Amino acid sequence: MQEILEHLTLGFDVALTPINFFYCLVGAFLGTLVGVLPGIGPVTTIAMLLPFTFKMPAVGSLIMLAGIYYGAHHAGSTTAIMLNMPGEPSSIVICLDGHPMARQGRAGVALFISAIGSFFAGCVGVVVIATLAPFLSESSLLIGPPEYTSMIIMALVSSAVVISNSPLTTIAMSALGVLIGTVGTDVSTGTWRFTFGSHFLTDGVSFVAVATGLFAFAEVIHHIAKPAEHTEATAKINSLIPTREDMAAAWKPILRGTGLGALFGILPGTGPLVCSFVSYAVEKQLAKDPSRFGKGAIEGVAAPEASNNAAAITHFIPMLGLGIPAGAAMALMLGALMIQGITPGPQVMTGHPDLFWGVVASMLIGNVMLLILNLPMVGLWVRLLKVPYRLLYPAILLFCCIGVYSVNSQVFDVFLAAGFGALGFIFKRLDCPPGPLVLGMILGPVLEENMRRSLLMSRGHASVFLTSPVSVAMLLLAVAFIVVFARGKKVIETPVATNATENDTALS
Amino acid sequence: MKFRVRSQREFTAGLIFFCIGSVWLAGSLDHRIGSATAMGPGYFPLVVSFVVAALGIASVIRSLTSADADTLEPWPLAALLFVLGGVVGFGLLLQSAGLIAAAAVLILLSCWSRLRTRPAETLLLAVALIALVSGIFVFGLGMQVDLY
Repeated sequence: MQEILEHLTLGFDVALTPINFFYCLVGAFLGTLVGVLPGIGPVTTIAMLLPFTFKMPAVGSLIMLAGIYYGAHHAGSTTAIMLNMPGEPSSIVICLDGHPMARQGRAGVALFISAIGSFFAGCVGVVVIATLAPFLSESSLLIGPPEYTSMIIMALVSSAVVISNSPLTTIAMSALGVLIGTVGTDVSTGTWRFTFGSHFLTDGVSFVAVATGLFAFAEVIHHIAKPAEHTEATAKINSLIPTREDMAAAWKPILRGTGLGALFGILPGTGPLVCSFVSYAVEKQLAKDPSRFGKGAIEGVAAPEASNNAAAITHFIPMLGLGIPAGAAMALMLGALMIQGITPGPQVMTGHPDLFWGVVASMLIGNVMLLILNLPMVGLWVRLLKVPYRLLYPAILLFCCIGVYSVNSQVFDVFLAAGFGALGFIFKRLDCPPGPLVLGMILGPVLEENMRRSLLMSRGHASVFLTSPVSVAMLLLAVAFIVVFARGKKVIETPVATNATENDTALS
Repeated sequence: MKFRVRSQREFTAGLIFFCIGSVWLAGSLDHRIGSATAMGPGYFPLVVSFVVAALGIASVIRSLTSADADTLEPWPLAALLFVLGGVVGFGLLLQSAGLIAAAAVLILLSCWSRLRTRPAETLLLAVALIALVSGIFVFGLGMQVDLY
């Protein structure tokens, strides 16, 4: 108990220094501002704003990046509710019931519930981390190379199956990411691999360039090429304050979502992605009248939002402690941290306690800021949604180009980003999501290193992955994710279908 | 016997994965493979590229039979070329001609189609963006790049 309080006090001491408080505010504001603009998700937002953090101290820059991340994420929920436009895979679920609520004139209530749910879940998440962290830094001793290998495989497989229409191609995307991760100097032997004779590639492919190309450039090309369609913020905001019935219907889902999210967040790699889907499915199963889902059930907004935010916070344990992020946006944050010279690993919690606890505490403060920043200004943000895309995309392109260049001050990275833009656009047309590729690229070198060590320890016997309980559990979990999501998709798909038809009729 | 491709998307994706996997596989063979106990630099890429190529073949097979049917729309080559041309132009000019010229090329190329329909708006946007970016990055953040 003593220890928990000490950690939290340290965290708030760091997060509440004026300069860090300011970074947090700027991050949350910029994240929201850029995130509500149409066609820009959290990944693009972070990639565009990355150069702003280079000159900062590590703690400040991670606080600001985290602010950008959840600011953009929150903005994603806003656009999901108001416009049926999810900013990233995990906000797809919010669209299902949030947008129907908005059509019924209850957009304000949906936004308010999602904000309150997020905030509550965030508080619980922080307490969970503070309680668990001491045990976790000890238990990381249990994790040797074989366990780590299985864990990464689990993370790659599960993050791929969650967002897939076709599991084969999404898992292939992860594997392709791992392949791209092999470009550069082989750590163990010093050999240059797949550099195509170019000395620009000896340090590996620039991660920011790949993410910018795959997400930002591909998205811009996709939007321009699409025949102009009008997205209209039809929803009006009548009242923000939910009625007593709304609160009565929402508090239990918020609790359940928070619990699920806090639990799932600790799982490496999958966390926030999986849990919003799972908690939505759980609410639908538990509901007395499941047919209300997809037509504006408040539980369908409350639970996923709460679980998502709880997971985003508890996810800092595997992300900073093991270096396994969930999703491309988190991977980009991790990349930024490495640019700052901090290598993720169990030593982060003990060696940089101010960083770990400071960022965790700042996330809580940032959530309060979002509450204050967003709810009264929702009208303003929604008006931003109407900025025409033709004025936006040149700015997106320019900021991204400068961002990519500024990481290594190398023009080569800009060309690389252009190449990955073309590749990303092709993949987008083929329904292959870029997120798993980016994750594979980040985790690939770690996977290789640990696989090599495991097999060295076992003298070449692959059975080493099946003898340790932790490793077996991770591999089983990977199989379970494939099975559950292959079947569980139906639970989620039904409302998507009805939702789509509703929109079609509304448009025609 | 004639094969019908049910899902053109999955078919094409599978082919792409197969090609990239094969190229990488061939590349891995240039390096020492070693054994599982003592992996050479080629071992891991060999295994993973084999997985990618195999998943590619599996996707192609799936696209013939079990996948949901879909067709590919025509490719919007103009958008692709102008946007990426702008990005490449930016890269070519940044260090030799400076940020202003590079940004101007990027904006004007990517807005090519509107330069005739809305010339004033496009030019104004370009000027405003260049001023904004120069202000933020060169004067504000002290980025090491020449303006011109």
